[in-house]
Amino acid sequence: MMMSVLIKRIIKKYYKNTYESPFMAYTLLGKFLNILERNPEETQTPLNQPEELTAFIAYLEENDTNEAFFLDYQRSSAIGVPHTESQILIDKNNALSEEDLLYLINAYDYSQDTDMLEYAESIAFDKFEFPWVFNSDYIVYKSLPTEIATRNQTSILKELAYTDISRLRNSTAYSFLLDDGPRPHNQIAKGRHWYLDFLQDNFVQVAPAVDKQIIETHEDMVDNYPEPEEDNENHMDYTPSIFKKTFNGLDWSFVFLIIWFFLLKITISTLDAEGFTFVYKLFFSKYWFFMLVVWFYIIQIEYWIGVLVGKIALFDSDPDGSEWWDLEEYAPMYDVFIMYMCMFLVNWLDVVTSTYYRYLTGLRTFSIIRSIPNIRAQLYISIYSIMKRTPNTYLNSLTHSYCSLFFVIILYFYYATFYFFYFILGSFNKLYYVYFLKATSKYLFIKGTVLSFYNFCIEYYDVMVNIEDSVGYLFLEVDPVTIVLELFFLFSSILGLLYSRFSYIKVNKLIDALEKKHNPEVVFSDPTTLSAMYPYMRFYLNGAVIIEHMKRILPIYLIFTIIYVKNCWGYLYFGHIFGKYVFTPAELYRTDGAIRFTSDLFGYLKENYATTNTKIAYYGPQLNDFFESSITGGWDATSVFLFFILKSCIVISGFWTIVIYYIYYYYSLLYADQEKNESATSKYDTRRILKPGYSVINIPRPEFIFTLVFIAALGVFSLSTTSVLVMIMCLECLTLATCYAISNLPTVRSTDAAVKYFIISAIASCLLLYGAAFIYMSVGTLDLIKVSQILVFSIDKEYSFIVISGFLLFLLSFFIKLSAFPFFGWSLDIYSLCDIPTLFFISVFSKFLLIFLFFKFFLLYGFAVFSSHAVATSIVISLLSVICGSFGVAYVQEFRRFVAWSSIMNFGYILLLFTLIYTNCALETLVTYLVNYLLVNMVLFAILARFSVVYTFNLLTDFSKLQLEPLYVVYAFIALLSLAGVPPFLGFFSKVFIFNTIYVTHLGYSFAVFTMLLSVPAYYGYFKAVRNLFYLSTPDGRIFKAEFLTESEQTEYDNMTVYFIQDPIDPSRYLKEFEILLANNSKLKVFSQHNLASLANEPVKSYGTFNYGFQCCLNFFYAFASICLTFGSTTSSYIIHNVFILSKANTSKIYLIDSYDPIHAFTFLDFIRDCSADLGIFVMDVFIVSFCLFFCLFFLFLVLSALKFLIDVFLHIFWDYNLLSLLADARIPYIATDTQHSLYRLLLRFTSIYCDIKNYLLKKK
Amino acid sequence: MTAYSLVLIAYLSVLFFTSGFTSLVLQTCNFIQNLVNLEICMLGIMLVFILFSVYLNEPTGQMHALYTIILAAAESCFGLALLSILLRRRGGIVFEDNYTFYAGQLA
Repeated sequence: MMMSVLIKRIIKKYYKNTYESPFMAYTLLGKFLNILERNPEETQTPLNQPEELTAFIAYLEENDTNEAFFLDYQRSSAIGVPHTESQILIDKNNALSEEDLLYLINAYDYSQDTDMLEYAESIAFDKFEFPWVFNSDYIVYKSLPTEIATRNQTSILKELAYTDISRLRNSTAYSFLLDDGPRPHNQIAKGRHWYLDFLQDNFVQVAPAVDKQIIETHEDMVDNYPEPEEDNENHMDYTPSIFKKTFNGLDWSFVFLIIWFFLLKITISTLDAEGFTFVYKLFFSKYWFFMLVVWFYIIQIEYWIGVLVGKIALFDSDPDGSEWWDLEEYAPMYDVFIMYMCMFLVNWLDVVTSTYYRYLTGLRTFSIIRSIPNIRAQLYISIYSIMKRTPNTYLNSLTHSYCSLFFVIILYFYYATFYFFYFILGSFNKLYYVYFLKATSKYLFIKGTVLSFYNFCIEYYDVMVNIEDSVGYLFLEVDPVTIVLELFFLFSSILGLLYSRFSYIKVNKLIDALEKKHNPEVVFSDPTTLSAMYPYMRFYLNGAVIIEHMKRILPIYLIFTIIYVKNCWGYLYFGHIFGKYVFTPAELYRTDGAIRFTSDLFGYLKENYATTNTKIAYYGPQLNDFFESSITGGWDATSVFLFFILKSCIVISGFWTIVIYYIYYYYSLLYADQEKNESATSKYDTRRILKPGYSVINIPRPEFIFTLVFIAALGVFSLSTTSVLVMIMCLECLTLATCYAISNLPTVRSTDAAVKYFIISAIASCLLLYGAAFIYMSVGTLDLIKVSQILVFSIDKEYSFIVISGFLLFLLSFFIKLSAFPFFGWSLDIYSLCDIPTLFFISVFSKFLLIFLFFKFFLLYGFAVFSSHAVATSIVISLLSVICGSFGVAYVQEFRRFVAWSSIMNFGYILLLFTLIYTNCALETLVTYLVNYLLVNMVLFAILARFSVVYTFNLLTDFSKLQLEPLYVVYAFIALLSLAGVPPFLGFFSKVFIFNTIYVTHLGYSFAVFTMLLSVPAYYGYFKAVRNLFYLSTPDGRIFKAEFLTESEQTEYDNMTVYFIQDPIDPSRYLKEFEILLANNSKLKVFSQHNLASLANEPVKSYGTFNYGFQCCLNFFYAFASICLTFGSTTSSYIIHNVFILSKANTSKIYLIDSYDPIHAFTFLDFIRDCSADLGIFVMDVFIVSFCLFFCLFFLFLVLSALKFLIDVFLHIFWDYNLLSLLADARIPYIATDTQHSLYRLLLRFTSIYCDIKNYLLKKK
Repeated sequence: MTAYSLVLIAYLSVLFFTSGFTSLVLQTCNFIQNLVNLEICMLGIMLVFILFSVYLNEPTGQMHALYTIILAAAESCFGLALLSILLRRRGGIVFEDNYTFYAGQLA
């Protein structure tokens, strides 16, 4: 036994943890001191060790009152730990007690003296027939007989305290002791936290009183506990006793359930295409419909009776002899029973209401499809109830809370599925809107129920511990302020929905009246009549209704954002006020992180932060230095701030998705009349959406869009759980919402794309679930805090194959969903089938959510233990996806595929940043990159959503159509160039920051240059798109300037369509001018955005001003965003990036990670510290100057747009203001009268040289 | 139940998952078959959870199994809704070729 080795090991492993987990170091040092005393000649004195260790030893010596230590100490000194085989042989003859031998074995195990350990084990087996199985690596305690457990329980637990937590956690004895052993009732209720509390009570807080109390209560329990029956079986039978008890009589009913399940499977699988169409026909004929419903419910009743019979049979075969009507014994069973009855009644109510609606509306309902998940939920509830039916007291105490939680959660998810179902239904007929409202109100009701349930449970601490133990911290981000806000949200949304319901009825009545007036004999649900009365639906289709929707949706959405912004800050501001009364897991993981603040940016946080520091720790456990060095434990103000920015990015992108949908639907309504001119549109024109039969579909339905985004975001923001499985369920919310968004268009292709996305997401979620199952297999829990705890404590050891493969499965599914390199194929196909707003939804919003999830999943909860594996895979994958994406951008011709490739490339860079996240400025760079990407895409997609309604937008050459409104060319020019990363624009800065981040790490300068060079091919693609902004390109590759057309060129335009577009102020004004123009110039095909013939009879002036206001707002926003992009680029990115880095460098500690070279980190930190003062002044100067500039431009633009608006209205009112009369002689196909087009002309002048050269070359050929 | 039956269930779960997953990845012609394959995958995962909750003697695993089932139910519900849309828009759910079904090429 080398004593120096032991000392080194202790110091290496636990020197840093002395404050974090003192009991570990305490126990080890106890061993250490024991051995020291017995072998003084071998040892080196502990005085050689660092000061803290000696101080700690002194601390140990002072606290003599700790019984746990000194009992063992005295006992071991009395026995005398033997060191040779001869001594053991001598001891074998003596009478060693069981406890002493146990202690001996453990001591050998700690000293890694394997020979002696095996010898002691053999002695133990010979002498006492110990039921312990010792491995050299870890200890597995299997089937500890209850006699020993009752007798030696405290001593065993003290012995267990000397082992690692990871070893302990892997052992079944741990769970055995918690589940089966007789203990005080409150300890049982606390469940898994019991052991931790036990350790803390005994070893950390040095509380002998608690120890005594435990022992006394333990003795009481021993007296009261019934003696266990003697088992005749061998002790070496390793099957757990609880397992036997539970599954003794269960075999046939289990088999029955499995058979039923397979019958269900077979019935589904036999329905191939023809069979399904047969059933489909039956399903839609009147009588068979009812028969099928009855059939389904008969099956349910049969099954229900079967389960009851099974239960009765089980009760008969119960070993305890109690009867099934014994209510007191099996009260939880009857809870389940009542719950089951409730579900059944709910089903029937659904059927009744659906049939009622069916008779009311003459429409068919999907009750059968709807009832399938219902049936299966009941099935598995009953499986669970049977499995839970056990005389074990611990499980019985759990059953109440489990069942009540089940009831809530199942209903919650059940109605969430309803929600999506009604989305789909609502796309067919607007009468399903009623169903949608119904489902929404139910959903909100259930949400309120969940919240009230939680409020109720806060008061009962024990119950809550049980629930959180099983589910993870499901409702973690809840404090009184949140509850108030959520209730406010609940009531306001219910009110809003009621209002929308009434307004819907009002509009419906209006339509009915119109219909009766003009066409009294039509059936309402006939789509052709809808198209017939479509002109009259203009009343509610125009902007006034949109404003109504906006009015009632926007407050809800604002509250929604407030809630989640508050959740981010809640623990900073309010947590310290209410924190004492709300349970947080931070109480379990105490820390004392002292954070210092030097930056004035967070000055107002100074006072609160010291008190709320424990509250912040809830984001992740601070267990040891590993966590503190990562961003997990760090959680200084900068990290919280960056996390807040990440969250707010998602909120903004969700909000912008809604805005883009609004723009899209608004313009599609404006141009809806043009649908009748189908000859001019191409085959894949987006205007074909507005077919006569389907014209109702694309009525703006802001509720649907809102709830779409809401559910997706809610799914991911409710990731405050620490349970992996709840995380996966939240992810499913996102995928289902995305699936609905893809199937938004009423075409076959969009449905195909939705099916494909469904299958892809199913594959990914299967992989996720299987990975979770792997982790559960090896670790035994899915609570992320515990998982990370276990993995960190066993950091020195090699992980098992199962854990690694589980985490790799997680990575794989995330790569599939983010469409990284090998899995990007689906994204190209699906993107190319979407409309523009959906494209934004998929490519930006849902990817941001996924990044957020990735962030929390792999980084916050200490999964960074696997960084060496994750880095190796994800560096390769990210680089390959960058290469792939850049070449794809260079190659591609279609616009949607262009977006797909560019998002692959950009998210490749983001994944690269994830691999470097433990270096100093990577998190800041990541957030900066995401913010920049979001801004650029917001502008680009807002422009395209407006244009894709009017024109086809399939190819990159379609960018030339933007020239018809030259102001948009400027915006698109800025957006595309900043997407490419050309120096003065925004994307350039994110690339610079990435370069800086890589340069700082050990990867070095050459690697940074390499990664930057990877994106060079993409520049070709981006410039190709930019070139199309300034030239008209014909299909044969020739390009033309848009400005000056010679006569020879104009003859070539004969066969082309020349587009003509104005602001949709009042189209009837241009009517005569158009006709004159057409009469004069027969070669020119003018393609107006309004159907002139229909507009001639319509009174359209009523909504003219609104349209113009909307247009002005849009213009204003585009200008605002583009100014942000250009002038705000330097300031915003510098603020986000440098200020945070500076504050972090001043406040936080030095970061040391094994996998990275620490030298670079040190040098960078020193550099930053030297330059911090100067840089801070510089950054503040830049900020002030650019803010002034930005504000001036903002004000200027505000004044200009207001002036333009006033002048136009003035002219419109007092003169017959005709733009076209001014342009009668003009040969250019667009109108360029405004001063705002001067910038575009300037750009054209610069680019005209290129056009001349190209045409000259073409002519030469 | 003995340890033998535990092992049997383990093999069964692996069999379910692998068969379901491979057919989910490879089979794209019939959407209903895809749904069934997804269900079989979920069944395998559920069995893993139940099995190891019994083996590790933890009641939470069975709860995880229930979660899995609810998730599968939600997915199948949504899949059936998609199926009804497919029937309406396409007129059938069987596709002749995988490639033509999924290659979403414009023009």
